[in-house]
Amino acid sequence: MHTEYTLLMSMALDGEAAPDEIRRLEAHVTGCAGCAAMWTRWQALDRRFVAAAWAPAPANLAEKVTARLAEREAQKRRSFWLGSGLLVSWFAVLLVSAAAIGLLALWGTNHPKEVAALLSALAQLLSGGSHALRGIGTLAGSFGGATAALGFGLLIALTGWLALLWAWVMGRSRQWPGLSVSAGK
Amino acid sequence: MEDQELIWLERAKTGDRVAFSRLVEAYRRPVYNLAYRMLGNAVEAEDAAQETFVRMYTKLDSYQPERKLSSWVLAIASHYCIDRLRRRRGEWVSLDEEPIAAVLPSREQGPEERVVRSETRDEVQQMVNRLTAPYRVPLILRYWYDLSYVEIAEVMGLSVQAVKSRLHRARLQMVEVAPAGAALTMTPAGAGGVG
Ligand SMILES: [Zn+2]
Repeated sequence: MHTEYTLLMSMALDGEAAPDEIRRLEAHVTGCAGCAAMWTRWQALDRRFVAAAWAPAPANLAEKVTARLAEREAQKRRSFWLGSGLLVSWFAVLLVSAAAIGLLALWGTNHPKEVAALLSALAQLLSGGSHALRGIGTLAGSFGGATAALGFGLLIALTGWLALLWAWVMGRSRQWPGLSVSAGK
Repeated sequence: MEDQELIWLERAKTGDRVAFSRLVEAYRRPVYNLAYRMLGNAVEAEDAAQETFVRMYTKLDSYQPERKLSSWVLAIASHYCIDRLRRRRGEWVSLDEEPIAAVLPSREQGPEERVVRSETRDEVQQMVNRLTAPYRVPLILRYWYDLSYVEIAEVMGLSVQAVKSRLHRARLQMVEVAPAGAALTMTPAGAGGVG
């Protein structure tokens, strides 16, 4: 089998061979058994392909494309809102807790007793919560910074509330897949 | 025909979904057939056809009017299908892959379509399935779309020389891997001259 001639065969089948190339091919094929066999095989192959039908397309493809486009856009919007929402809520929490810590530090220096009472109430609240919260409370308390513990607690509580609020807002938009994830935060 | 399509395209660019649906309708059959021939099964083909149109929608602004719209659409479809085949399981599709036979009643066919016996279709698809992705596209464009080397080159972003060589190698690959006794070897009778 000669590559030069199989290439000519391929071109001839594709209607891309010049008349003199076709003559050259035919002359070669009459004298070369290997190429003659290949040529016969390829012509049979060609006939099968030429006769092959088109796969019938589903009739509702356009509707499905429209639906997919709408879904992609909704997805884009959701991830935009989710991203921006998380950013905004974290920023808000940081601002609020910084302000709270500042104010409490100012107030607490003049009212140590009240601070202690508030802290114990908060500690109870925290210990009533999960192990994680209690652990964090103890950890913060061990630093001796009463206001730090308070700030920490506030931060966690606020984040939780904002996350819940955000989950609620997002839950109102259609079919939000990330709802359960975010609400559990 | 193409003029009307260009009007739809311009409207679709401004966000007109109805106009875009018209375009999808116009290219539904060629895109689906390409996906089907590339991927070899109806479920994947439908998903790939939808994905092709979604990509087309996001790329409407990059369409250059000097290019044939059909070439552009087929290019998006073929590139997507090549990617998909590569992701599927490396470059090769196993030889014992089951051809999907539960398709192709020859209803709703247009002028380009030929009515054939069902076993011919399956044999042809089986042969296409044995080719690696870069060889499937030119073969499909050549036989189902009657495109010339120049047109195939335009769709695939290749040189005419590369197209010529890929079609040559696709044919070599098909006869190499065709199992003994396959359709190819059974019909030497009636092999006529060139043309
Ligand atoms: Zn020879």
